[in-house]
Amino acid sequence: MAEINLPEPKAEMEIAFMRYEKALNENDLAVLDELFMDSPLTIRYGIGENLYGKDEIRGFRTGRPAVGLARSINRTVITTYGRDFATAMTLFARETVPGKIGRQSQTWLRTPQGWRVVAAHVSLINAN
Amino acid sequence: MTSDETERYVLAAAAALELPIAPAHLPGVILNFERLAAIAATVNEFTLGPADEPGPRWEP
Amino acid sequence: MSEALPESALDIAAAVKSGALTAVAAAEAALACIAARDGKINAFTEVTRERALREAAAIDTRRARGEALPVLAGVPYAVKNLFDIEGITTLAGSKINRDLRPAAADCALVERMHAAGGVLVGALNMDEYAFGFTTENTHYGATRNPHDPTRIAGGSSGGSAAAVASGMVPLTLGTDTNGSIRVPASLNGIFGLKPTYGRLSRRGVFPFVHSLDHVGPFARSVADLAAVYEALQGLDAGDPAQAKKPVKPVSMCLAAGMKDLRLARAGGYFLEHAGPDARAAVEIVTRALGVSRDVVLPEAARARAAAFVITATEGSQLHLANLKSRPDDFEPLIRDRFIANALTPAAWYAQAQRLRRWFYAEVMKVFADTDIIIAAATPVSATTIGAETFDLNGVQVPARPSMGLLTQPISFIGLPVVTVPVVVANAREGKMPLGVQLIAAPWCETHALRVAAELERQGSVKSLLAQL
Repeated sequence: MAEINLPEPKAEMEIAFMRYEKALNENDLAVLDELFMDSPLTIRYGIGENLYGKDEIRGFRTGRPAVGLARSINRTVITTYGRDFATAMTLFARETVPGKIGRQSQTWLRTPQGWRVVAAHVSLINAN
Repeated sequence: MTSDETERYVLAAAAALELPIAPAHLPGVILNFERLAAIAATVNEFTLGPADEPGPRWEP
Repeated sequence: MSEALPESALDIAAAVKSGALTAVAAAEAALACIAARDGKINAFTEVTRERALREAAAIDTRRARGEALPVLAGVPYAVKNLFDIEGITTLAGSKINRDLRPAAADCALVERMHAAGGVLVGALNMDEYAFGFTTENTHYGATRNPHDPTRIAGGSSGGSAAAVASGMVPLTLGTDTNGSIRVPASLNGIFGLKPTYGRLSRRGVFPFVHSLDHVGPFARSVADLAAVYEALQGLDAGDPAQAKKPVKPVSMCLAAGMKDLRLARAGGYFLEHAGPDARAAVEIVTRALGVSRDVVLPEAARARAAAFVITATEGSQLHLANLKSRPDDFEPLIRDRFIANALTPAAWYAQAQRLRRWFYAEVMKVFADTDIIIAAATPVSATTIGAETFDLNGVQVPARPSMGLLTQPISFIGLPVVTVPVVVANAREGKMPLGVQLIAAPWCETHALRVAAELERQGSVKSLLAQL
């Protein structure tokens, strides 16, 4: 069985996750684009859209208005399985979306270029 | 090692290395070698198995 | 730092980028500060005034052209005098090296600092050939502790730590073989980072013990430490021991908090060899972080002894030709020890290297359920210059080698460590700082930096700027 949370890959994944989070808050499209694996198999289910493949994901990001993206995250759980595979799960809240709890789950793979998201799903539920 | 043995070792090892030791330096060298030997003894008395490889790894 | 300069490196860079301060003015302020203060401290062995003004002017020109400036644009810094600086002889604290030609090129890390916008203002004092923990250098004079000039600055990177603690520069570089970043960081009350063995390039750094030599930065804040560490990363073919690891940005991790990290105090050897102030410093940190668990690094005393044997063997072999031909030109405080070390039997050395692998495997078991191990960085705070012994829990121990008792077992297996400054009030000795090591698993520098950032946010650790 893959070793869970080996220190080195875990520390790397934390860095990759924080890079993604910072880029999302700042709508840094170059970094957001970089961190999703460049593959037609990469999938992102957003709150209001289903995106199949890197091209659809890129198109969605460049098309959306860059306002109200800042958010705070909590109860983040990053888990690595072996040296090349990880999940990153977090709750988030946006001031622009009161009363709702955001949920983001990501699956990450280590590629020769670094850690990349290969699948992601974002959803909202009521806060109470 | 007794202190006589230490002195003999220091002189012999220095000869093997062709390292001259000035008479004025010899007492200090012997004293420091005795201190090093005492520290090294705690390493040397520890039992290691054949599978315990050295730290450095050569990666050609 | 003069009134004109902000205390932090990142604030200086921000002022330079915004145009509130020119890089030349920052360099001149640092040079003036060195001229005013270093007479009391003796941290600098060389001031590179022309180079500093040239590098600073280049930054100002780039800004005038509208170029984006790098992260440490216009930040004055200095390096231990074993880092090659183009055109200057790399002394490594020795008299013997004065006979060497000036360095033909900058070392890898000075190249990287240049690329990051740093402005080199000088070279810093150290123990001869990095062999010592006190920077009592007979050739160039002792470096004095800025918090009490009758005391040592620690070593071997003593000048590097004292220059930062006295406010002459916000950043310096040093080396750590057995504790030479962590010991002076501890005694001067500043932050120091010793990254994982093999993390940063040592090309162009005068060696001490190839198996154990590390390079790393000193700073007065965790943000500065993370920024300079980021700037220093990068693969370099010139250091055969550098690991083929990618550059890891770390600064944005500092805000991540540390709730997910599992912390423990190092028990056993690390408590037994800590004096009352060192224990108090550890307690301040463990209390602030809510740490109640101890872990034991098995056979730490033997690990320290093995580091001693490896150091003795490799460190003296490097200088064997000069020990034969000109023994009287060596530092008199260590010459006899150097000669004795050259006679180490090969079997002792081989056993020590094998123990290193064994100890590493044992400590990695501890990291299976622990992310950060907390231990004091020095057994005591700064001792008086010239002291031959100090009291360690009722035993008089030899002062010069014993300052490294708590750091040696850790660098022995190359673990990354951030040293954080704690001020321990001591009625008898006055207020002298003492550092605590935040020890992470290999390649997990960010874990130690995150905990350091949290402690700094809480106010539990704070770098101490000496009032001179």
